[in-house]
Amino acid sequence: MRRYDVDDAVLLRQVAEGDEAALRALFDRHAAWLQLRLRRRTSDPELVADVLQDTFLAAWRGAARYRGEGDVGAWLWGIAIRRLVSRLRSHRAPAPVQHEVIDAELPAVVSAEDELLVAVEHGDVGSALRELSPELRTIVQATLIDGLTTREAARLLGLPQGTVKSRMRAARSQLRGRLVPLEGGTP
Amino acid sequence: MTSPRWHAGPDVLAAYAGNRLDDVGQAAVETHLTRCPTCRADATPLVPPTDLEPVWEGVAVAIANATPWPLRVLRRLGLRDTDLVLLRASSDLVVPFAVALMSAVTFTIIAGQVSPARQQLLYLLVAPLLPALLVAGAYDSTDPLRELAEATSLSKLRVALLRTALAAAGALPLALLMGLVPGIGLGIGLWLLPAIAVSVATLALLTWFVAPVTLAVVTAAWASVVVVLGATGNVAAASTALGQACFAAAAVVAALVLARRLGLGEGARS
Amino acid sequence: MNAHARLRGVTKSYGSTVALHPTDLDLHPGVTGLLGPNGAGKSTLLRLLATSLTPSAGSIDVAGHAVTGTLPERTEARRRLGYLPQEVGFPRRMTAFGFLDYVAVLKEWTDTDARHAEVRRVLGLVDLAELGSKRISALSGGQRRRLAIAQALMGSPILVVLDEPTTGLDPEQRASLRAMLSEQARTSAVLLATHQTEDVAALCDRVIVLDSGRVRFDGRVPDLVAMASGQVWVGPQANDAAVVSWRTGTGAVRSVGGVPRPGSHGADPAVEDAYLLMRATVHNEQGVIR
Repeated sequence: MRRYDVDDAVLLRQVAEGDEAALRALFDRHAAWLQLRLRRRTSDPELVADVLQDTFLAAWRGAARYRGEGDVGAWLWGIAIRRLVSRLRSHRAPAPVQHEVIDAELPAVVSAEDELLVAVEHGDVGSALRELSPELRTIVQATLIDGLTTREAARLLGLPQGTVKSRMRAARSQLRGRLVPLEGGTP
Repeated sequence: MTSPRWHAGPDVLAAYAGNRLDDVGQAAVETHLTRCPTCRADATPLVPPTDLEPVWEGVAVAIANATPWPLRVLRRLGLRDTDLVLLRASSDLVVPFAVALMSAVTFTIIAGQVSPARQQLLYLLVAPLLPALLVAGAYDSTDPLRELAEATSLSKLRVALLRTALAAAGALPLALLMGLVPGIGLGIGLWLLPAIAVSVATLALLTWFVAPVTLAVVTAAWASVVVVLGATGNVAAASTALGQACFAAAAVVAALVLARRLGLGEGARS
Repeated sequence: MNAHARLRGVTKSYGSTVALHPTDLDLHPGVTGLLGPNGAGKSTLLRLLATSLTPSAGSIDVAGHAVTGTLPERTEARRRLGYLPQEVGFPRRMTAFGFLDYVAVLKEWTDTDARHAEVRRVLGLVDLAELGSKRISALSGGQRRRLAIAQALMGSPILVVLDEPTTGLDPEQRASLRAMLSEQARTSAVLLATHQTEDVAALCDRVIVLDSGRVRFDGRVPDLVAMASGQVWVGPQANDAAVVSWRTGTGAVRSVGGVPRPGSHGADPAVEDAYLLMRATVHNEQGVIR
């Protein structure tokens, strides 16, 4: 963490120019929380370490592709979760990170609903989420919170894509029902 | 993107790290972390450095260890890691390879214009010289490091043979390309043993002279042999058992000279 | 204590030119400087020790193995030495890491993980830890020199031979080189060749002065300095019949030997004074001072 004042986006630009020290600075800032988050998705510590390594390697190779939308943290998580999905699917060490993984960008936040759903800092939205069944909550976590597409979520959770879609619809309508009365009071 | 007004705080983060938050709390913390540098910094002490240092070391090695695709293919086919590193150091083969390719193409064009007998002669002249060109190029490209390499313990013969193998592999498609000219057929007999003999002789001479001089000497010597064969009408003799045996013998002699030279360990141009 | 390296009666000639006259030398753990003008034979001596030259006569032992013996013995010796030549022509397109990886393979590091860890270790030693991925063509001269020093330190060499390692280094880098070499010198014999007396003063415990292929001095640095004791003067004018004198940066004249003029005062001798005094008197004697 030697570059105190520098923005993540600037660091990423430096990484795109081949600056290893900038990558190290990004690593120092992000590796810890990424590891904590990955640990909540799989219990295998070696897998977590491999995915973390792949993520920063992918960041090194794909830094030029970052367009400046959204937080660098979110961009890194997008790469990490996809690497995890890929490794879990193949059950063996996959080939080095291919570029298409990086190209699949975090889906941009699409609707006001999603915006609301993502703003779970406040108890009201939190309790709305709490009222969902565990299955629906898992889907919400995979798609909105982790930013996976329905296809990727289906792969991760081992469910048919149709099931994921219908559960997502159910979750949205339940949440919409709970949240509409609260719209006026959100910051 | 405005920075969040709410922060998780060290207690909540510790609970998150310890898996003590419920699904919703977990979701709350996670979405927040993607956008909040302050809380990310607060989360860092929760992971022991001994977990992360090896990961960084892996990243640092991976980004510094770029391997060009032809060598990656070879690794898949079972090439040893140490050999791969040695070959990667000879990857300045591009220029000699381009020259060899140009020669092959030029040959093919010229050969199309001349009589079949002449074609065989021309093929015998050029095809074995291509690997020699590549060997000289590969050897000399790492020549500036030779003084340093001299002081190391790995068998010099092994390195030399590895580079020759790479050069020969590079030359094979070129020789085959040239062999496609009708009238020559894929005269492997015509090419392979002479190529080996000439390549090993090139390596041996490289322990005495620089690459350009060595190439000049080898080309002149081989051209003389071919001219003599051609003048006495004995080109066909080159592909008989006796002819091939002669080339094999020449290869063995050259290999012995090479081994002797490397065994002395003397720097070549001292 | 057995010497880490030993030369007995070693000479090297090229035709009728003698690059090195018969030389006996013992190298022990510590940093030894090899001081002398260009053409004195420093590089020759280093290359003989590094096994990239064979002597015309005499025997060389490194870590108990006879370099001048059979190939297996020479290979054993090579396993225990690290060498930095005066010029290192780096392959331009290699990365710093790739270069060290290559040298490590040449030093027979067959296990990939161990080799990579060692490369990372020496990159850290010379402060190039975050430049491993850089192409050598993108490194500065000083960074390349540090890279070249790094390859000499790989493994645990008993003998480290460095030919002009401080070329292109600024004073700060020279200071960290000193720290690194002292650390290495606890177990290894480090021999570094230089034509700059500041290097000897800053880096070495012992010094060998070489001139015209002969060893003129072989001993501790303070003993060399003491040779000029009482003979160094600083003043507005050079001494009469000074052995050597020059105008310093402050405008005063520093003289070694001879008779001081009025207005001059004595000064503490430095390595440079002793060295210049020695070089000037060498022409009058054939002897060796030990």
